[in-house]
Amino acid sequence: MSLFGASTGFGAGGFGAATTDTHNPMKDVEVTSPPDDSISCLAFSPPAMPGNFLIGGSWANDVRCWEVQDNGQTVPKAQQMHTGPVLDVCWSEDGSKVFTASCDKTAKMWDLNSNQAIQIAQHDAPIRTVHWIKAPNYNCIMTGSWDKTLKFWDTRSPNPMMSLQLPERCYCADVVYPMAVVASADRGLIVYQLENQPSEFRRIDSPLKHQHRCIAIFKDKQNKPAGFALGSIEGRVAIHYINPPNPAKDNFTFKCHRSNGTNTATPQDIYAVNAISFHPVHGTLATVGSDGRFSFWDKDARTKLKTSEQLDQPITACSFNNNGNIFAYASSYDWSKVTFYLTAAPLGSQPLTYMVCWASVTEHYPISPIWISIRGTLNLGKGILRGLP
Amino acid sequence: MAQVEAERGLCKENTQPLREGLAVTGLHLSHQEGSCHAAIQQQRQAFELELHMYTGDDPLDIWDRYLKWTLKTYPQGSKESSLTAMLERAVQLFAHDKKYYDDPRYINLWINLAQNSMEPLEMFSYMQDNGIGLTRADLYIAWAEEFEKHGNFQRADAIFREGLKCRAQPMDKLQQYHNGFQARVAHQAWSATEEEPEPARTSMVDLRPRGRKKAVAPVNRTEAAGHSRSLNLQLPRRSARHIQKNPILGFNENQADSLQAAQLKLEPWMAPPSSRANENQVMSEQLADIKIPQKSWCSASSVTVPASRLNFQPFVEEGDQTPSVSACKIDPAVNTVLSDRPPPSKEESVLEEGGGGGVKEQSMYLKELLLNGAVELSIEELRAEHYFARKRQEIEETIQQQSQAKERLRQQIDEKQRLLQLQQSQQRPQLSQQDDTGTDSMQITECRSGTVLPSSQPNAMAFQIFDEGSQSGSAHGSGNPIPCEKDMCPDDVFLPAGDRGLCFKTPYPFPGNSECTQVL
Repeated sequence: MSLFGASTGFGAGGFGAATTDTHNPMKDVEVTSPPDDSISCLAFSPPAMPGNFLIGGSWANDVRCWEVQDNGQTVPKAQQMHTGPVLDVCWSEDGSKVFTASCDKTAKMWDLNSNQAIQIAQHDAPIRTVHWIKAPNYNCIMTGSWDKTLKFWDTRSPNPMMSLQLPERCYCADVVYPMAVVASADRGLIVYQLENQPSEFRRIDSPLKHQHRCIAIFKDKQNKPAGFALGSIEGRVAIHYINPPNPAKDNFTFKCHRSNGTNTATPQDIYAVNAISFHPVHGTLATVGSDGRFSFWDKDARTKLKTSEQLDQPITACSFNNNGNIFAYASSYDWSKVTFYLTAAPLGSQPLTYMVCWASVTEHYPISPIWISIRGTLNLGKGILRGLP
Repeated sequence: MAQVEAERGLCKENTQPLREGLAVTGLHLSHQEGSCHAAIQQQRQAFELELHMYTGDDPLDIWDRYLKWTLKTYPQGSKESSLTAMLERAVQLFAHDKKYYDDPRYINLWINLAQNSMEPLEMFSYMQDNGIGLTRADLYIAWAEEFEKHGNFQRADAIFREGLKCRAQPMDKLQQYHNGFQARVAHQAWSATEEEPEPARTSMVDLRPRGRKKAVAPVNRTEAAGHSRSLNLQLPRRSARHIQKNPILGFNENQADSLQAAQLKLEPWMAPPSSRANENQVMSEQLADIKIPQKSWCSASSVTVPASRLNFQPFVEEGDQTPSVSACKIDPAVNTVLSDRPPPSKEESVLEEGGGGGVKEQSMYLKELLLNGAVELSIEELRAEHYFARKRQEIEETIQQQSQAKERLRQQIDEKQRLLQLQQSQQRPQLSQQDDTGTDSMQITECRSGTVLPSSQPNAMAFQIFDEGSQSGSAHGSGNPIPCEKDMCPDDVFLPAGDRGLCFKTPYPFPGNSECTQVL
């Protein structure tokens, strides 16, 4: 049951546009000064910080920070560089530091007040994930890398506090204290518990048949982590509870990011799920995929709430802000196919959107715009979408 | 070092010999633990990287080198080498491309896979049925070897004959192995039947039937490939005992045929035989998706052997033979042999009704990108590899540019020095007053400049600016056209400026001989 009617086919103008604008079909606000290469990760600032700040890491070796104002305008604030592409970013819980993980096998801590970045972690292979853990008795950074280790770092020491062996290369991870979950190559899935000190809690048989791509932990009504959503490279997401009353019924998978939903004559195109993000208040989840769409889902009602129009490029990253008013998604070439293409600057603007034409396209890779979708109260729980007046 | 030698010596018996010989470096690496393990890992990663990044025409080349490296580095056939997994992946990758079926490297992959598997004979049969390697001697040699190991000499011989009949290349190698095999068998038979002199004599007489069945038709015992078929009317049923007692009679092709036919597998190949018994191992998904095209059993037209296998009546020409097994199309989607994954659990299948319900699916990412190597990659890993490769290329380019710039600068320096020397030497002849010395000097200058080496530094040192003050002797030094500086020329060899005579200082200077022909 879909309250909005799934938008099928492409080019169907859902917003009354006469011509299909596939670059920004949702008419969302576009972030100024986007990075020069694909965006790998997005993260909004935590509640402790006033205002909304968005951090985006890209394959152009940089991490950029924008301030997102209430009217939707974005202001570029600062930038830091790595010596390799940045794969993951996260905030500390007080919003003063940003941690960045990169292909140059290091992770850095960026102090936003002083705009200084120091290296705090080192691996033998590119670091794929970085998360901040705030426990009652310790604080640390958790880094997962392609060298098959998971390391925990106190930012003051050059040696890791703890190093755990993974069965395979780390592909994605998420942390909601006291639970952490890591998905690795060869469809590995391990849950850790973080109380006292991090330790392996359980290894889970993967509910999916294909390569793991993204993972996000969700919370139950008491605000405790209850399970996770796992996305694969072939258009499917699995909802898995850690201790469900009835595993066979409570855990399920659903198909997403596929084309030709009802047309069985042509083969159905299956796209990778690039990122999953949970709404902090309503518990609904957003998925973004290589097909260039994002979708919102209600996992309790097991329904799809909304699917966006198709963008011309895959969507590679997404993030909700701390109160769920803003949803940011990044559209950029994600290498799932070998071809790439150039995009032209859009023309025209609408009174609600604050589109800014960006500079010319780089030689090899298209510009990676980020959009902010500001929909007033994005009340996904009830499926009501209200726009700005 | 001595310890390493000792270790290697102790472990020697654990090293399996390789046909082409073991490389010392590989042995060394595999016996040393610790630091060399990292080196091995690096080398393996380099191969994986190459596999993923290769865009040329001949991907088989990398697999070939990878195989050779693996065999070299893990000669004892340990599990860490993951040899079988790699071989399986490699053969599957090229299974669809018939042009590789006669490529000796591809055949080599198959042979190695067969030799490391549980059922090598089945593997070889599969290869034959699918037309892989039929024109290469290696297949037949390896297959016959396998039979020989099992003690099945008739089959082995039949394989050799088949290879010769198919004119598998290189033929002389095949013939050589065949001869060697026959010699071994004969020797074995001799030593086995030494106490029975009778069989030696029966080789001269007609084959006497033993057992209940009697021979009816004369049996042609020539070993020439393929000739004797037409003469044989009815296949006598010989007992195996008989054959073993008369091994020297040669291997009757018809008998071989009947034995073959008796052991014939009439059902077509669903999939290549599984190379390892891995019932507990969950294979990754990709193996199940990769489909090896199944040739219809009887469509192997390039191979006459299957037809002849059915040939219970040897006198029927192969051309007239109608296959007794109807051609059946094997659904390539049914390929579950290699995939040992348990069927999806109930809870999954309930929710996945779309996938199997007749809707065809097509993944929108290039599977080949991620699955090219022996190890699966994620999209980010692939992209990171490309990024690093590009970076390395850029670094190499900058290094190259820098070295070129350095070279250019050095050449400029040389040029400048040469000009300087030219200038200096031009100044000196002006100081001397003789014309001939002037001309001589000019010649000498030319010679000198001609002999200036690229590394002109020492020459520059040898030719200092001629000090006018010390030139007092040069005005008279007509006999010494070489303005060799006093301090540079050893006194005992060259005449100091001003002395007349030969350039070489001799104990008996000859007067009047002022022509000095020495030129530097």
